[in-house]
Amino acid sequence: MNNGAADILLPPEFGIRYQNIEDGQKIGARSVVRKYDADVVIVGSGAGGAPAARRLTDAGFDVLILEEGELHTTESFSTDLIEQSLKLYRDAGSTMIAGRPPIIFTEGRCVGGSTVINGGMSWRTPDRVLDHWSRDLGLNETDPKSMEPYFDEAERILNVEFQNEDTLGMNDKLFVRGAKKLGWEVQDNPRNMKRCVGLNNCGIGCPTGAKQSMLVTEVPRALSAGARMVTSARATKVLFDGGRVSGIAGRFVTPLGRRLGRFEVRARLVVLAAGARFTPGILKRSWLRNPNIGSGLHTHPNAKVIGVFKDRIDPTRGTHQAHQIHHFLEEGLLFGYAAVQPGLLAATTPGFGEEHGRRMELYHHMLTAGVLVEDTGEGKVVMGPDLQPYMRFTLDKSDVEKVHLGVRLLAEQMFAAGAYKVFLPFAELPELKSVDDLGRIDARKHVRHDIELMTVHIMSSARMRKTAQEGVCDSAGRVHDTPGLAIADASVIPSSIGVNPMETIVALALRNADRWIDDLKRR
Amino acid sequence: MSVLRPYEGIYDVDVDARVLATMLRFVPHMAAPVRLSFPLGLLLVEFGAPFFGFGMTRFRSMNRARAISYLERIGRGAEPFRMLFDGLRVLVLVAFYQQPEILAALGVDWAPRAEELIARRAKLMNMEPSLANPRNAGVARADASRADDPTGTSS
Ligand SMILES: Cc1cc2nc3c(=O)[nH]c(=O)nc-3n(C[C@H](O)[C@H](O)[C@H](O)COP(=O)(O)OP(=O)(O)OC[C@H]3O[C@@H](n4cnc5c(N)ncnc54)[C@H](O)[C@@H]3O)c2cc1C
Ligand code: SF4
Repeated sequence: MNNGAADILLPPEFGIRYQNIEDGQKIGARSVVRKYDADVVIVGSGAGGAPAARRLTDAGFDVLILEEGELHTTESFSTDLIEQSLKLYRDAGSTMIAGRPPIIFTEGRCVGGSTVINGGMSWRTPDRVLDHWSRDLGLNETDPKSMEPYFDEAERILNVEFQNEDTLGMNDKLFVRGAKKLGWEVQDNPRNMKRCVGLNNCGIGCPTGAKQSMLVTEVPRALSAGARMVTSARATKVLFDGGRVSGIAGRFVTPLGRRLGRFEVRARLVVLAAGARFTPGILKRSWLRNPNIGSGLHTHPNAKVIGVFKDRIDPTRGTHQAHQIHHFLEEGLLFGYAAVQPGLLAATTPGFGEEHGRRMELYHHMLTAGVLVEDTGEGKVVMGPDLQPYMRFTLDKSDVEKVHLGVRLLAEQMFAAGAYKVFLPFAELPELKSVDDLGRIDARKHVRHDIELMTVHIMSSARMRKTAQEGVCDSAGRVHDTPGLAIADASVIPSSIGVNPMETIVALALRNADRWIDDLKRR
Repeated sequence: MSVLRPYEGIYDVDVDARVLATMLRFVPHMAAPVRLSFPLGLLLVEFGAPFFGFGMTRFRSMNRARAISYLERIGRGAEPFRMLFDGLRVLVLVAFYQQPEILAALGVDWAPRAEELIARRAKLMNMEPSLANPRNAGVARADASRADDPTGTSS
């Protein structure tokens, strides 16, 4: 994209300077062992790592951020799904969660982490979930009142806004119309953006700079306040000195993840913010013995329901999800919609070949809605033969029921909006031709094996609990019985939250960082 | 690939070589166990017909209809088979539907809108917020308090 000419007016994010960054690929020849010292080392620069880094830097600590991915700035973003996936996604977006059914999963591997490729939906943790954490789990100061200032601050950092009218696409209008006809309440979707213009490219990096991911907010802020960052640096193992954590070791890596030289960082505090898959992986590789590490994984399984309309919708116009439906949140169901590029849509809907191709021909007439399930089943992060973490998750019975209920309600919403047919995420019941067919969802055996699921939310794999018998960290994200080690990412979330998790992760990272600052000052 | 992609109507375009090339670009990025077991998986598809009740035949010698039902059977199989099938399916479909000819046939072209909207946002960000961003003009900004904010977006 030709954005470089000096006489062209460009959005402000195009001019961001990233100071104090070292590229691990340039310094990391295979024979190298590079040593660093810092007060605090933070592994990962996503939703948890970046705000924690800024907080600790602003408090006067010397902070070093290690990021396995590369720095890709706003100027480099394009609408090319393949190129962007290869650059920004872990495994180029080809990750699967094993189980019945297998779940397609994606996450970011770049400076800014998954916030660079996410949809920007910014929701507070529901009060009933916070009440559960504070009342039932006994986690100090996680009640709604105690968390409120952190959500306020997270929203300022993320610049949470609502969509302007000019960014709403036809898909949004139909989504809202269907819900209103059924008498369901519709929520304006708060998103972390600064004057979004509705390009709808959020999932592969926002080329306009509007989405206020960590790449354009807390990362540059932390760096300009004095934090340092090393990219292409994969942390692998926590280092110990006596009974205390003294640092972290790892390897510089290529964009394909192949190993280069080694590094070691000595620090007073090690903060893992590598996400809910890799953080437990690092803990396991460091021989921490707590059996809770990696268990309790939640995945917010997501099933797609596609309404097909006579009129052209043009899903390429209009922002990524301006509204959501929280009408069934108490039942553990959240509805949204998203228009994605044809390749992604094809991959996340069942089938293949001619039949599937005929459906894809209707691309411009499709409204792709999805149900996000607040899962009760629990999965696991386990180590693979290559010493990397992998995930297992099987839908439990109640989640299977929730998926079926959610799919039925969404299909009803699509017909109410005027769809003349609806595609379902069930290989053995792929299509409904009219509202009278809805009963076929109830009538079908509620099995899990043929459901097409995907997710972009994983959490709770090193969760906060009062004791090491119940969880991995305490109520401030400090790893139980392991002084000098803390966690600031989705893995600490105590239970499935049922809404998009970014803001919860940011708020918890800010809250917990305040407690670590007190600890560091005391020592 | 020839079983998983469609050929009829608007899809009657010879892009197989490029679909394969695109798929091969993904392979080195895959997690090691997946990457290493990928060729094994392909062998299993090629020679696995007897295990799925399709007799002593190779995948490549099946006609299209039979090959489709064979793949469907693998997809309904136990977890490793379902994962193998899903992985293959996803790879082929992403690579196929993102080919420029297929995007053109579907009438999808995101890039020109990107150019247009980058310019539009640049203009809006230079305007008075109450005009440029009427719904959010009063939102408190994290960077507004810092003159030295490096994100350059105080407004
Ligand atoms: C496509 C997509 C859409 C989404 N949409 C939304 C949404 O609209 N709203 C919402 O609330 N949430 C959304 N999410 C989820 C949200 O973005 C994530 O839950 C959140 O970013 C997770 O934060 P985290 O800090 O746990 O991990 P991440 O943000 O993923 O950051 C982890 C970072 O650690 C790095 N890392 C991993 N291992 C290592 C290692 N060993 N050494 C060094 N660095 C390492 C990674 O490269 C990555 O940069 C979406 C996610 C995706 C993928
Ligand atoms: S809809 Fe477009 S402009 Fe808005 S945040 Fe997403 S990619 Fe950026």
